[in-house]
Amino acid sequence: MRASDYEVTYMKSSIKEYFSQNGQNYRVIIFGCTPYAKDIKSAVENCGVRVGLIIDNSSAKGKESMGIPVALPKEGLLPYNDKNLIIICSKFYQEMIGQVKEYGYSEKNILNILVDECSILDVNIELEFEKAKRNVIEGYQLYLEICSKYAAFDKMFLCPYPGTGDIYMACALLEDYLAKQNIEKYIFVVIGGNCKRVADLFYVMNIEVLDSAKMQQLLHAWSFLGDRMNIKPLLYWNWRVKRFMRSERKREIPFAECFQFDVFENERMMPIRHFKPVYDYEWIEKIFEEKELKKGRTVVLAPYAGSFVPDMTVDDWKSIADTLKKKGYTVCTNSSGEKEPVIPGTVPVFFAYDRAIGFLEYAGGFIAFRSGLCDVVSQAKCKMVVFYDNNYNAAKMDFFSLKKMGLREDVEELVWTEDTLRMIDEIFA
Amino acid sequence: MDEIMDSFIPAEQGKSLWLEIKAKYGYQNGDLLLLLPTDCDEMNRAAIQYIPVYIKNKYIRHAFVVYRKNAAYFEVDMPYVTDIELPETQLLQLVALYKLIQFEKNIVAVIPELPFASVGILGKNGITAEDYVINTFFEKVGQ
Repeated sequence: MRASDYEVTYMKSSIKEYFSQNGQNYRVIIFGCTPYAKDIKSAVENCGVRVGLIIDNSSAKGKESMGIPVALPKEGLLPYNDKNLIIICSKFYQEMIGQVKEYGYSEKNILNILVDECSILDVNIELEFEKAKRNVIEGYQLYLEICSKYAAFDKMFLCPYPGTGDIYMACALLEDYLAKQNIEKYIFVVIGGNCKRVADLFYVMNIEVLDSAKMQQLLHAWSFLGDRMNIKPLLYWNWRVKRFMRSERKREIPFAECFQFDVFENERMMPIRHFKPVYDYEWIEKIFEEKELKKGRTVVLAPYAGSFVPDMTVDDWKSIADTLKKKGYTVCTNSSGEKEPVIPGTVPVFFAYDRAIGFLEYAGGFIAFRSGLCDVVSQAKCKMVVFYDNNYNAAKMDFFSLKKMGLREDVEELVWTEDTLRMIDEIFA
Repeated sequence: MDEIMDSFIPAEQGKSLWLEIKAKYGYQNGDLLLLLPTDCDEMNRAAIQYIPVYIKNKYIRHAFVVYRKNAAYFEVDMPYVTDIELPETQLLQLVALYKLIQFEKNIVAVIPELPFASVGILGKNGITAEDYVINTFFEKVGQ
């Protein structure tokens, strides 16, 4: 999960305003390895101030995140230091502030940035009511518009997350669900063209593409009107009325089990049904020839994740590329353009989802940061290494592991450390 | 569009009711509002028993437990909890309001059915009703 553009802009202006009014002589501490932490760090550094520490209540934390030490709040906040400025940007701000105050700090040491819906403390109930009513009516109208395009259907599925991995999981489990529920005709509503491309891999029928705001309207209407709309949302977490399906006491329950048991109401884990890949060898051979890549001795790096910014640096990826090149591999970066810069010393490549499997199997190797692309290519018969962030709550290996999700057995799943290069050296002999 | 306009009536009633309750019982912004509109005794009990942990960890001053008249209620001796017993109709009005808007910051509604929850994962991998209540209905504590 990545902070929205609006949230980032608001956060940056709050931080900038704080330092311009109070000076820069602070030891900045960010509370929480949250999706906001990376943007906070960047905003603080843009003001010429260094972030000294991240504090986080999770005992599973390692020693560093984004190159900054991570400590438990007690360790990081004691002994009391008047120069500490604790930046909080979380829906859990109420307890975070309480915790900070326990260690003797007051409001003047805290910069609390409220960004999301659940941060509200004082609701204007009349205004919110009317706003929500309009939203529900518009959502219902949208539903009727979509319905009117189809003569008949048994169910409308909403895929409320724009993540490639989310949509992949939904599609991979859909066929069994349709059979179980005797659903023949359906409408499949997704956010954006990228999700449609994933759904197309599975030959999903009647795909409707909406933007995120329209999807939220449909969901709001459904959550209020219920059975008046013939909808099944493929939601597994983070509804306004439903929060964390993952049991904290049963940490071994991964993403896929939440999806299978909760969303699709399966009694047991059903097998993942991958899509049928396309093998366009003429195209692949042409690319390999043009870019002077070696068949079976090429590794594709995929350092980017759409929904958040990974911890691994360009230097980390460059060291992986250098290690592989020394062993005689040609190395590529999967790059869609300027926003995904090519790792220095590697060859840029880009392939559509439907051609990805064929390309990787021809190449021989794939090393990626965990992203939705990993789900899409998980069936590729090639060497595969997937990295996860150590200290970032949004991309935990135990939750999103390809192995645990039943997507792939033969994969090395690692948290990046300095020692990882040795393993790469061994895996790509 | 007329066919859905009647759906807003219970939510409107819920809004008026909530403003009355708020004034009558002294609910303050940031307090916990625990809604227990169903007769799921096991979940209701788990929710009530979790109140002390939850409000301590979230630095909440007071909890208001709203439950259905004549439903089994699992009393715990907590000075920072106010019990409010309501007829089912009124409870459903509050639920309708909650489906429409997040009308207070700390609302926990223990309702094991859509759109609030799907209980498919209950019983899987040893997930108990207590696990489910704590991790689904209550917001995760801390970060």
